[in-house]
Amino acid sequence: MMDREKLYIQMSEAVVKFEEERVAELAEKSLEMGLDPVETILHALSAGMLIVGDLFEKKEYFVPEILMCAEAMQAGLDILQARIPKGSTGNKGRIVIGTVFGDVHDIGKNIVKLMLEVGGYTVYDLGRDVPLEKFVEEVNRTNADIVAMSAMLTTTMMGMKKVIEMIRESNPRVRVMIGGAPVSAEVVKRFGADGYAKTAGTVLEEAEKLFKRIKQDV
Amino acid sequence: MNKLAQYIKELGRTPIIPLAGSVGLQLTRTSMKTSLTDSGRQKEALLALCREVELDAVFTIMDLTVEAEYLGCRLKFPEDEPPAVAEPALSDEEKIDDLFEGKAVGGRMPLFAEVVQGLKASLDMPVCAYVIGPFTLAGQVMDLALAMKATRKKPEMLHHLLSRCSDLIIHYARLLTNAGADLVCILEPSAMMISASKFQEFSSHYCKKIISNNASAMSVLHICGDTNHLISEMETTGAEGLSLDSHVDIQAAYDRLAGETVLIGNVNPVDEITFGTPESVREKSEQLIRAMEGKNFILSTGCDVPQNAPLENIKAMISVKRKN
Repeated sequence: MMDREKLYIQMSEAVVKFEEERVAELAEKSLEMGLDPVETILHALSAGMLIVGDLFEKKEYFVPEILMCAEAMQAGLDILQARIPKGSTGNKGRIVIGTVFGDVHDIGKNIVKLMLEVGGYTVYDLGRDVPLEKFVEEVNRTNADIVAMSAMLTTTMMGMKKVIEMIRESNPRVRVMIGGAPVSAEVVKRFGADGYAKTAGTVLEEAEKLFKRIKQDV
Repeated sequence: MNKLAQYIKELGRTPIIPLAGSVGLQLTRTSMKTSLTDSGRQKEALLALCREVELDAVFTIMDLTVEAEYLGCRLKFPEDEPPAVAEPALSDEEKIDDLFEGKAVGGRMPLFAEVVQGLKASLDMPVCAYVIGPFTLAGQVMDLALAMKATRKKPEMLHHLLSRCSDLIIHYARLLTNAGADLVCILEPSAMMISASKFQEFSSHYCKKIISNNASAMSVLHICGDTNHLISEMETTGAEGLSLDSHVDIQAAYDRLAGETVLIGNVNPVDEITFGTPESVREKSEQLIRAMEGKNFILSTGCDVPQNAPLENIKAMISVKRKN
């Protein structure tokens, strides 16, 4: 019989190689072995996506490959999540995410969302082309700790500054991270954001940093 | 020598051609949407820009949706921002041919041809126009995430779509060239997200076809963002010039070129042109001109300049012209 560690490794490798059927097969097997699905998501699926993020950073993987890995991971996630009582995952923190008003480009935002979800966060996705005040409303509704915004266009990017101002006014303890093609460290500074998710590969690291700061603030 | 390199040689100094057509809208108080739906108003704004700033050549206002809209994609078309494709046109991959049935030139394509014609009649400088890139158009037509995955899951279907897209783009490029465009620039932003080998298979091969089928005009290939991994492949398209975004070290890129390809770029349109000062823009522009002295180089912006960028910063960029 296969041991637990070996299954985790095989499953994360299958995610990285975007072998969707293999991931599903191993997910079923983990349940047969009586493994805790929450642990399997963390040590196999999330671990695999972290490797994927790393390969993206190194420019060995590009967007098509990430999307394929995400699909494979989702196949495993569907099987495992069906066995998990609601509320026992996503405990690391709450994040509201969306692409700002005027912007219909959401491929990057969706990848970031996925990385955050497998990283253990609860993500509230507002979708794309999100009216600016909706970000504040959603923070209030969900009591989120972080707002993550994306923009693809230089024009729509300006909307992020307005959201940051609104958030500072209404929810000063909430941290804001931004990303997207036109966003640079310079833009982050000018807009007064707290974090910069340069790519989907570094977004988890950036989120961890922000949560550390939030804890220190308390 | 390619036509674009020849143009630089004849000018005798580094040409300065920012991708900044929409900044002209400030001068005539024209909305973005009006300029992209009324050829007379776009022409008027661009002529005003040319009177205000001494450009070496003028680009039409950038619009990435002309071809996709003609193919039936629903657009989001705000009054004061560039339009974007909101919904793909292709819902059934079996029906690619139906989508292209009877399509050659239409939608707002003739409008841009009119702009080119009008500029050509009024100005004594090269007039440049844009077409969309094949992979970007395929992503608009069938949904970008699906097109990305199709590079791995359904390559035959994607090739079929790309081939039909390329034919349409060729029709449009020729229309613009016949209207007087001296240069046609292919905008292929979505290619930034794929690997060099996927780019070779699903974009550069088709770009090459578009360029060779419109050989009487000068040709430029523009891809936004970090394209360091694509430079060599971009050159194989036969584009006379490669327009590179501010994420690329243009000197290092130049050293990697095999031929006489012209590099175009790459002052940051946001950090410098929008948020910078005339001094910082001038410094950055001079730095680039010095670094690329004597090379096949055109000073430009890394990407399209937002319409609300200060005109003073465009002027600052142009001002370095007199010094070199």
